[in-house]
Amino acid sequence: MQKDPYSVLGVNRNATDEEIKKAYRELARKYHPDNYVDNPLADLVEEKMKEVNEAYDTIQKERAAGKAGGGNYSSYTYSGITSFAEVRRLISEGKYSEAEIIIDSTPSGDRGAEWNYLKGCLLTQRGYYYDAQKYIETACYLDPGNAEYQQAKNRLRYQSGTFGGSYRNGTGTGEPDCCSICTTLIILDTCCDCCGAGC
Amino acid sequence: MFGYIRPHTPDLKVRENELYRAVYCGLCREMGRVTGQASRLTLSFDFVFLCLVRTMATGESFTSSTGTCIAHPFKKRQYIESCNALRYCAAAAAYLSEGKLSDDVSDEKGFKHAAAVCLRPTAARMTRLADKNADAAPLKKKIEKKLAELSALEKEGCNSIDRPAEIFGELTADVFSFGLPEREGRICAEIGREVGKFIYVTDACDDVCDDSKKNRFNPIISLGGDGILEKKDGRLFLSESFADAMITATNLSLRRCAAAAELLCDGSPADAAAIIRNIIYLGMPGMMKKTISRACGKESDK
Repeated sequence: MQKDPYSVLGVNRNATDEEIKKAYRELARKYHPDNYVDNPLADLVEEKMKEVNEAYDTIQKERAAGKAGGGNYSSYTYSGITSFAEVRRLISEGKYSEAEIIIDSTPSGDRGAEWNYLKGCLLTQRGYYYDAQKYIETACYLDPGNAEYQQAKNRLRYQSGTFGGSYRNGTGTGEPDCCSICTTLIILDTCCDCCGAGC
Repeated sequence: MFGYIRPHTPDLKVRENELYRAVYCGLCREMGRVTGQASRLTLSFDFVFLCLVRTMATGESFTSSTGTCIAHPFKKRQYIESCNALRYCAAAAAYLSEGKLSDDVSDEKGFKHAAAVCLRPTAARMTRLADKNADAAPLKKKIEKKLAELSALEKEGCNSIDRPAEIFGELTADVFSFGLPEREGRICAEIGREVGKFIYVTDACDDVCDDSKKNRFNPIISLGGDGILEKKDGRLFLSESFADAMITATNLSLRRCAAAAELLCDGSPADAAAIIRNIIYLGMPGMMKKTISRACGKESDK
């Protein structure tokens, strides 16, 4: 069943090109895969994004106006070369339960910083956010110089601190965000790298 | 359930607030019709949220009327007329009350135990009526199973709060997604799961000080780690660092909940979607903050 491309973008049939572009951008921002990392509904979001992209394409074609935009999907790469490389590979392929089996069967003597980090990543994926923080915190404590662990910790803090930010700005309730703009930018900067290591 | 899921009313538009109240009134009436007059006393805000999510998932629309009722005999109020979503919510509320009550009968002692035993026949009547009037009987089995799982885990003790919270989340996921088609079912299950976890964790924070005083079970106390509770003026309160971690975790969970809800909100009636967004982005975080600061021994600023 083909949906009306205009209603998919939530715009009027006689909307200007500018309005359509704006509506599209808004939706593309909202359904960007980065917002749905670790999210079990990621496939539905992808579906939705596809629908939005198609709608935008159709309208653009209808209006005979050049090329269409697409989601900017970043690719994930891993640099792990230790014995946990296998776990990282499984995580990158989305095989979380297999990764969990390896992690949980690791003897307690081998449970160092990286183990704690990976365990934290897996728990994040399951939505066990309280426990995840504990493990990632431990990883940072055991290996204070490791940028990857620090980034994972900052990423959780950042995502939590900015929750609802756009909603609040949108409705203009003026409630102050818990992060000041400066720290947000700094953390955002570290997070950009972190997406590459995506847990 | 507990009433932790409610909107931040000052940020609702007047007509959104009217719709919210109309659904509340409609649900109260529906409970009277579907599960008996006594069940109306168990009404909570949580079920209004459930009802709104369900109607958005099914695309059902509301018809509103005005009238008086037992609780408001003089002033006419707007309410939503009976519909599938309301009928389902009324039945779900009855099943949950019964489940909670059987839990109390087996777990509680003293006055609470006695009260639970006395209320049992009423609850049984409610679920009987729910079975008869709504098409959701299999839900009862699912709820009972999850509650049994939860109380088993709580008895054996658990060093994680996420695990029991997840079981309760699975229970609410079942309640939210029951009988929906695949796509909507998955979205609603995700919303339900995060809402359930939120309710479990918030309830644990809400009771932690009382429970520690009265030596009752509380999932936070049974975590057993250092630095969770600290003494201030001779009373036990939640420590700041634990509260911080709790708030971070809650926000991350709500992020998932919001991500799922956004998939439902686009293309749904604007007012219902606005209420859902308000509840998830403002109502729930606000409730958590308030509960946590009370548990830390700070008077809440709101």
